[in-house]
Amino acid sequence: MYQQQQPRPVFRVVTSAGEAEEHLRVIRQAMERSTKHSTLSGLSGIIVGLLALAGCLATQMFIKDAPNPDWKFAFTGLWTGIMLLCFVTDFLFTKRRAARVGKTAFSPLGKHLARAAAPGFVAGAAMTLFYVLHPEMLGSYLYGVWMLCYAASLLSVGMFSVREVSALGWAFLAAGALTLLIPPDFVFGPRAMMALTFGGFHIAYGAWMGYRYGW
Amino acid sequence: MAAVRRLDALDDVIHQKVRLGVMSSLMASGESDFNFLKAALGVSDGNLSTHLTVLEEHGYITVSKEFVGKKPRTTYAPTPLGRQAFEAYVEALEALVRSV
Repeated sequence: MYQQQQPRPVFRVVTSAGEAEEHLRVIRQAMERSTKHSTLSGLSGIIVGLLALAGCLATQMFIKDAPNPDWKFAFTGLWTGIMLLCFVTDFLFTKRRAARVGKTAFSPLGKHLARAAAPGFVAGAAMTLFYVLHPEMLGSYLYGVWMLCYAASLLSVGMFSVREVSALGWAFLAAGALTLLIPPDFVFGPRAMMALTFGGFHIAYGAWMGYRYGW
Repeated sequence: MAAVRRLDALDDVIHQKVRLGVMSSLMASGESDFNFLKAALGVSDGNLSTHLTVLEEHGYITVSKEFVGKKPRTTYAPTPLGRQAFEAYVEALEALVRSV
């Protein structure tokens, strides 16, 4: 039976340490370009920001003094819905952007990113569940906790992505800490911080990402 | 002499810079299409195509073709043999640098 001959690799016999270093540099550069190449969409960041602003507005208009214990289910329902919409938006735009730059959303790198982001999101979900069970204990501190959990996810994802993601993570970390520390009667409250971070930060990030890497 | 013997492990299929770039890129990202590799490595269509053919002929990468809408899309991914060869190559380079 005919069997196709597999070409045998040829092995190189002589080279120099300088050449070896040069080749290691080529490897590092190519790997960095491939992993740091952003499939994150600028437009997605802007839409996620607008959704967050809509969530803040809806909270302000329909769920007064949230997170108010009497409104805990409406509050968590609203923000769970907003978060799901953000996930769907981000997924669809990432898929579209990935196709444009010659990658797939389900590439091993995409899976790395999802795995890196997961712990922060799970922690955020756990704290939200804690709020539903004990609303009086967490109250409006939930906003700050969400920011810190999201910051943890972004900083993990930032290790495999462009530096703007890490910058956004640090901004959320600082804002989350500030939100937990501001006194209750301060000139701006946790909800304003929520609008500034999940709304404003995302819109600014999306606009920059779109300008720098594409929409 | 030990360092010289280790150089024998430098696989000439990968040793060429463009092929090394292709393998490095595919190892890092898992899979990429032609246009992405071209942009990431800054090489011409013809040059990249030639080197991809060499890697495919040696069983270091797999090629899959599909249509996205009406446009053809060719995706490349490293095979287990390619991964093994790449890892051995990097190990040999590192050993060489350490030995100096």
